[in-house]
Amino acid sequence: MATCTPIYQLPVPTGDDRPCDIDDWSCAFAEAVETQLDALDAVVNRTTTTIPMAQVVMTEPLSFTEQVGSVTNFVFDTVLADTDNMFDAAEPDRILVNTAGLYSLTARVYGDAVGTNFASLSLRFRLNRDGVASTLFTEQRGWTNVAGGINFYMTPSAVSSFVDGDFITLTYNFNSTSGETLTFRRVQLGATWLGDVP
Amino acid sequence: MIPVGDHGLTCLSGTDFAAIALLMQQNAEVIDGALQANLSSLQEYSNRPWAIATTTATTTVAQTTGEWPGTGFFSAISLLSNGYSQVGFGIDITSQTISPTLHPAGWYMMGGSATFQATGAVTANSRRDLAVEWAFPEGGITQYGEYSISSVYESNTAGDSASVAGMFFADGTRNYFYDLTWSHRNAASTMTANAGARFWIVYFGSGVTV
Repeated sequence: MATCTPIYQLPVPTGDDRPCDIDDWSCAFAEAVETQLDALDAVVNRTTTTIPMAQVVMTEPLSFTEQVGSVTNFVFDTVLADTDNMFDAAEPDRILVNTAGLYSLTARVYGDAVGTNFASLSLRFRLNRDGVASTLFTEQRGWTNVAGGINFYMTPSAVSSFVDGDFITLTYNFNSTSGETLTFRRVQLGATWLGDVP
Repeated sequence: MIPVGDHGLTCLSGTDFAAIALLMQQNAEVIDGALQANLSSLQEYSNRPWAIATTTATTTVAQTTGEWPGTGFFSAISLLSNGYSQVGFGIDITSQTISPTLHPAGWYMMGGSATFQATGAVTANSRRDLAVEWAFPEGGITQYGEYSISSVYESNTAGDSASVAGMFFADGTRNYFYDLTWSHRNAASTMTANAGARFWIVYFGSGVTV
């Protein structure tokens, strides 16, 4: 009766095995090796052929007048890259995580505002896990008395671990002293898998 | 011999069970090749090309009244790299011509950070921009393919800081430039970008599809 190697359970014959049964053992051995090679291929192909990542963009300007804002999700209309089914047009305000691991989050938010009495613009990366939302990172800008209005450019970035089923949103919250008008011209959100989390 | 799976392994049948030496030789060669191929791919994945440039000198930048691109401010650098040693981080966007052989197709992440202060008075609430720019020559002029900008409005403080990061896509058919630039609208005085500013790039592989 063949025995097996301790880690990958590769069958090997012993001195009690009949020579004429070598065909049975050789097929069991080849199949066991094939299983391990398949498992290795799955890991290598996942990491080197296609890294899970998504880059989505809001291309239509979003303009509003606000004094005391609320935390609101950006909604995206264009996909630049999606290698792991991370964006669903039916739920365009989020990036889905289908492969667990450590991810880099990046965003570009460009726009302008008229008026002078600005208070703050906050951008947040938010995680939703099992129906519970939490903030991963907040980037905030404040402007006071900038005559002639402003053009703003913000590029928040963060790194965090995620599990299958999580989703990521990018939110904004604008406050002004007396109800100023702000326009987002272009907003891009990206999530790129960096590696496994042990 | 009976084929097993799709890697080229075989096993013995009831009629050739004596060919054990040939079986072991063939399977050993198949396993050797499959393991080496995966090892090479994993080594490439775990050692993606990257470069980090750190400024070693301060740079004074005059006010710019227009939008970006700003001014490259890496006059002297310390460069760390595991595969981009041929890339030069210069002080002018035109000095970073990169051929497609050095920039394979795929997605790149680039970013930078800097601290700065006015050399004299501060124009209150005037804007400063730190930008990563990704451009290519076309039709005799420089075309800006993509950029990431972090803007700060300084309100009469003793200096400020900014960081910027973004993903950039190379199609493998162009010569690309990339640069980290600084611009400001501090009319009251010039500004100094301090030594220690960082500019970094990492490549995410050629298999990333768009």
